[in-house]
Amino acid sequence: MKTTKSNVFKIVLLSFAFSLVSSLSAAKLIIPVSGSVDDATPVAVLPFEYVGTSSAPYDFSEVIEADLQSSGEFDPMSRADMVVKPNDGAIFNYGDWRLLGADVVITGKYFETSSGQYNLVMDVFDTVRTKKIITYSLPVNSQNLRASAHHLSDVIYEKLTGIKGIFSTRVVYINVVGGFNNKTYELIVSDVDGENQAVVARSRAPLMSPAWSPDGRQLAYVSFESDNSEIFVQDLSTGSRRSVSNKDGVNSSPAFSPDGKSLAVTLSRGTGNLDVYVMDLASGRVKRITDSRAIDTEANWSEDGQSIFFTSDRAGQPQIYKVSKNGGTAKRVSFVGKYNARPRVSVDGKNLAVVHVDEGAYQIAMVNYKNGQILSLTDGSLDEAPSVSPNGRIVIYATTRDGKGVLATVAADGRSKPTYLPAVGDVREPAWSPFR
Amino acid sequence: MKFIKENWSAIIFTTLVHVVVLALFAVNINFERQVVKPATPVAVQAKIINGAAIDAEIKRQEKLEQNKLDAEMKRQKDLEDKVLQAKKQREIEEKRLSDLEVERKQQELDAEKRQQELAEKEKQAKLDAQKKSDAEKKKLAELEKKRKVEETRLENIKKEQEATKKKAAEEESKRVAAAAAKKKAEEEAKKKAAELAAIKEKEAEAKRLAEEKEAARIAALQADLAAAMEGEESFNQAVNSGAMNRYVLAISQTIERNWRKPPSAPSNLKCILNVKQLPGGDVSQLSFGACNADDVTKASIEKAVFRASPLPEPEDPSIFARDLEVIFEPES
Repeated sequence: MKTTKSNVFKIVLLSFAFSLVSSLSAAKLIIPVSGSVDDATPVAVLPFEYVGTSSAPYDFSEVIEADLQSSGEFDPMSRADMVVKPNDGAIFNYGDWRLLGADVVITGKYFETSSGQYNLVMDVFDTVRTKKIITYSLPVNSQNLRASAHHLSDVIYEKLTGIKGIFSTRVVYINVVGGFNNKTYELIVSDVDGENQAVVARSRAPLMSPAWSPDGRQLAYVSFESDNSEIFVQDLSTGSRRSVSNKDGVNSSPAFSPDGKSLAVTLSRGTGNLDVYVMDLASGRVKRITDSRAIDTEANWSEDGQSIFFTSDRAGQPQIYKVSKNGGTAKRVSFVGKYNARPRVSVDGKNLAVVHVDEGAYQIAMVNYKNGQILSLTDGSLDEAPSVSPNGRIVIYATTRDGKGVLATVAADGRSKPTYLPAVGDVREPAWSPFR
Repeated sequence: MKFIKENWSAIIFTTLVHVVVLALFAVNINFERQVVKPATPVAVQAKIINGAAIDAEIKRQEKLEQNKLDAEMKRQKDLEDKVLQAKKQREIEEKRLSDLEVERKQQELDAEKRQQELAEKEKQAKLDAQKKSDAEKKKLAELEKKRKVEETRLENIKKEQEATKKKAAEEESKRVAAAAAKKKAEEEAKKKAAELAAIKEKEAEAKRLAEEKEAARIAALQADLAAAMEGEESFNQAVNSGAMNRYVLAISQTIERNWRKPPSAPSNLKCILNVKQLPGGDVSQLSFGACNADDVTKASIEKAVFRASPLPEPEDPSIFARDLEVIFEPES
């Protein structure tokens, strides 16, 4: 019986193999591919060629290289390794660059058209598919050289990833300068790479919780300059500001609704009990959204503007809850860990960046509010105040190095390690701007 | 004859008429012949005669006519005499013939009489013979009867003898049959044992044959396989040893290691890429089949395969596949 069975098996196998062979010449071998890698795409950003008599006025490629590097999705080649230096697409040698290991090669050329006015042309080559994938020309002037470089980075990023780049967006944060007795709080807006800083508000009293309006033209923040907490909305282009909430007790954690017409805030209204309210910015009227004896605070709007996520310790420890913008029953959405706070919504429509305590360490994590899963992004001990880039790809947050607050970025999907932005003082509470 | 006798004048007249007509035919024929000859002129002669002459002539003519009639009457009378003479002659002849007939009839009657006498004699003879034959027949029948009686008697004796003989034979056969049955039973038992052994042997043989057949079938299949592979005998071995699976896995993993799936890729991504490779694994051609990917993801898929090129080669060259259908379908 044993032999018979094995014979039958053998025959079946042989028949199968036979049919396989018979059809081999005609049929295709099926190769299933499900896995992929997250490693950065090797890219060579060649120094842009300046066509002119004077020396090159600006190093565009250095900015682009840094931008692409900061995304975590690209790995720029060092200039020393660029032993081939083509300057013209017509003679571009794909094979050489492929051998050098660059999947993407970025070249640029610009010349002065009039004083301080330049014409720039950028070419981007895909050495794997051996084709030029971008030709982009851009008029540039001496006032927007860096912004132009960021713009080119956005063009490249979007072409290569299918996602809008964030290199032209900004961040706002609080910087504390001065010693123990002469502390000054600055509200600073800078490019997302930390450059191009502008102080938009300065106060000897604490400034807290800056938030962007959806059009990127206004900031809401909390100031203690009148001894009590007070919420201001300030116009960035004119610098003018107005107080929108100066009620008894706590006025904190402002958050613009996606339509820009409302502001979610945390108020105690002299009771000592913090709850989330929604303020109509035009009339100043507020509507109570949460009503619990616990602390309800740090509101943030869902992408569709219909719900509000907030932190509440109603279950004993801070956790994230979701409630309708009109109030009602709140639903808990974070379950992993004893402490999840300060939710910030991602554009992906399913994740919140939160401060998550893991074995006593305050770290940044992503909470999926659809399925409750949590993804740790950082491994620090005092990471706080996350904010998600408008393309959903990066989380910026504050952490502490050498006793001082610094900003850092990390990929929102956890694929990269944190990158620290240049220290500018004692920095906290960053908030990422929307797209311009 | 009588007719001729009675109508002799008419016959002669008719004969004469016929002779004249025939002569006319002949003259006519001559005339027609003469028409062809040139005509000879004929002169007409005329003569004037007087009344006396005429009366004389008439008298002469009447006399001539009377002579003619007399001659004719004489001739008629001669003819009648001749006819009477002939009639007389004929009556004599008829009488002679009639006498002859009577004589002949008498002769016939005599012959008939003689014939009847002969027939009567024959009849009598036959009757005598019949009588004699009947007596013999009767005698023969009696003899036959006697013979039959004798035969029956003999038959009965014979039957009796046979019955006795048969009885004895039956008894003998019974005895023999019993012995045979005994012998047969013994033989059958032996035979059965032998048959059982034979069946067992047969079964063993059948089994052995089946096994041989099976082995032959496998061998044939293997041969077919080998033939189908056009000499790539190691294919079967390679497949059986899992080389095909390892080949597929090696290609799959190489592509996966080179696929940077962009964040824009749809969560239900399924994309078929048809790949042609050259011996050695160099990718020579790509084309998309069914694919729900955006452009960036499609580009990433193409790049993954190009970056993976040259694709890994199989352990056994016989399973090298020129055409690949790479299905990009991330687990959700």
